[in-house]
Amino acid sequence: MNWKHVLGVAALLILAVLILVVLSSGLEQREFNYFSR
Amino acid sequence: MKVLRNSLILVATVFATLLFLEGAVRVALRFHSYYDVEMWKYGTLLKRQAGDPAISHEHVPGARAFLYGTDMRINSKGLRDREFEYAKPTDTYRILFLGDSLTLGWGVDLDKTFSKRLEPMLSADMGRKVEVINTGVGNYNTAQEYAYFHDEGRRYDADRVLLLYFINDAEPTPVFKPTGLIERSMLSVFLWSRVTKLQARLGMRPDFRNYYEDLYRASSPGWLASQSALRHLRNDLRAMNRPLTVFVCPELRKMKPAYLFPEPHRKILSFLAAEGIDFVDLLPRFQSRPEPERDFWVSEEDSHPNALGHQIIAEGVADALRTRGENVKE
Repeated sequence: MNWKHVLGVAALLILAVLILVVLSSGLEQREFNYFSR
Repeated sequence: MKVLRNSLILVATVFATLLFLEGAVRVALRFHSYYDVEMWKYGTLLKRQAGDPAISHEHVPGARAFLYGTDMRINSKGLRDREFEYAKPTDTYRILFLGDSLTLGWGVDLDKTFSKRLEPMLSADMGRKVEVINTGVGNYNTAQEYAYFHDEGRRYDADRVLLLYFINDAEPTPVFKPTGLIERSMLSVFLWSRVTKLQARLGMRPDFRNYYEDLYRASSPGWLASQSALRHLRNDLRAMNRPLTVFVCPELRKMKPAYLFPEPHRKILSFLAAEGIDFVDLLPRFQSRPEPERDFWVSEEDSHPNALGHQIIAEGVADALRTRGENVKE
């Protein structure tokens, strides 16, 4: 692996998070707050 | 050897990127309150495991945090309120308000919560000092509220007990888990929240309506536990010769022209009537207001009652107590 691969992996991870944020925006599900304990 | 080296670089890259994302989420959410993350902070900073498993979790005495735009201070007895001695001062009428995050005043300054708004209103009505003790804890169901009253709340020797019932009070008692490494990560909470929302969008989770309809099936354990807790509370207070009134607060997201959850609401009211438990339905009070539902919410993503919502609840409680004047002035 060279630095291009490293940057590619990092970019893919960040892109995946951004796609998740976009796809899941605009929904309210406040009752499913399992982390709120 | 090369494979091992590449694997190590890959793991280090993923770890470093996650670390970067953790930092990015923490920075971004300093400027924008995000409901699930704020609730997670509430759970981590202000709650701890309770000694009684029936209570599950409780506030950390003396803890303080700034959550969802408000200063949340917990007093020495684990309440979001000023300090109260167990012994009631003379010439003081004391009310104990049981409830969950709505009673707690999630997203609302303490002086704007219905408990605190009620104190001057009722004091003026009664011509004497009235204390309304806010015992609300986020995510409590009715069974936990009763367990709290049984273990601790009764020590305040209140003249009257009020309970704010919300539609999710029939959820099963959550199990409090010690905070692990993953649960300390804001990124993991944020990602979990977004995955949950995406699942809902793809139809992989029940929507609100089905979720609540299911909660109130005759055999649902949470609803059965809730009914049992309300019976116990009624019986305990009868034995103590103290009145109990249950205020049923609607889910504020969709009430006009028709309420989104008529069937669970009807079941709650029917149960209270059948059991001879004094109750007040707050739904008509909200429905009769000219404002759209959005005006009652803490934020677009969070339909907990805001300051206006708390004011409406306080007016509903005060009006109800006025019609029960003989009890109030006893």
